[in-house]
Amino acid sequence: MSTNTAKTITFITRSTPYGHGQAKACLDMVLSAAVFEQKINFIFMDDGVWQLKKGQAPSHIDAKDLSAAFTALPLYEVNDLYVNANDLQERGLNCEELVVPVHSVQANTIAELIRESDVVFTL
Amino acid sequence: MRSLQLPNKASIPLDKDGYLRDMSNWSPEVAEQLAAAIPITLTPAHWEVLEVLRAFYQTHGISPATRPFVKLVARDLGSDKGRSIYLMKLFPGNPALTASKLAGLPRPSNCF
Amino acid sequence: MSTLHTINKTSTHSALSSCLKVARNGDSILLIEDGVYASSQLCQSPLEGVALYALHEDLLARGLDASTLSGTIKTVDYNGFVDLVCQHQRCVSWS
Repeated sequence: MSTNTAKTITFITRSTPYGHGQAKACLDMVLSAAVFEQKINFIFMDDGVWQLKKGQAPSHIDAKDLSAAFTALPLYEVNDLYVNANDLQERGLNCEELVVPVHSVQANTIAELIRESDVVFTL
Repeated sequence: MRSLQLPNKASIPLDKDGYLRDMSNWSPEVAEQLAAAIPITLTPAHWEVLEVLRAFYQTHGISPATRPFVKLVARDLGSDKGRSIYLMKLFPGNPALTASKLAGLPRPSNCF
Repeated sequence: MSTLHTINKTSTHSALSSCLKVARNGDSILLIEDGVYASSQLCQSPLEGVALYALHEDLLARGLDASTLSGTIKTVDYNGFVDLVCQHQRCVSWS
């Protein structure tokens, strides 16, 4: 595989899951980038952490369940999911309430991930 | 609008790429008719892959692109079947696209 | 390996505060579009080693006076924007 030419692409998602297209758009970008076998960091900040909450049932609002797709990310070899620990805590959430295992990190770690990235997308 | 005519005269609406517009219209008979148009004759080897795909879509809500599709088949049906060459023989062309179509899934959006 | 952070929302959005969490020494922050409304807040919370800029045209368009930005925020025009992009390894747009 072309690992020597692979770039590190970081996606930062900061939006709630429903009511607009941003969260879905970010997920689609992650899935597309994964097809090209790039190194991917997927970071959830601010209201983006709500995307990961267990127990979503968006069929009640005629929307597709975004959180269901997160559990398929390992098949796309997207294994590095991060949440900003403070943003999680501010919203009364903890890692056990999330649909997938994530790295819960401080802002300093996110700053480092950005520094190690070739490209950063925020949505 | 494109559609698929079933032997019992029912008409199933398709999108411009020949995928089902409404997944709930899917049945094994629909899959066989879609396959016949390619043409592919569905065998048990095809059906087990289509079942894996349908289960994946039910759980995750996405049609897998090529590489995840191959990995998925390897995970659920074993590594002898989770290989591009095996899947290409069953589903000529792009196996992820062809198999998604026959399974009644939307076109994989990240598949090139 | 520095980063250019652009902000295009007022400070009632989380764009500025989120950016401030991860901007580090050697990075730059550029306020564009509605982000220029956040210039006074940004003046009050300067970051160690982070250069601050605002896009001149967006300040003018909104009737904001560049001369009141104190010395902490420099103004740049569109050419200056391009220069900033070229001077950094990557851009992160906070919106």
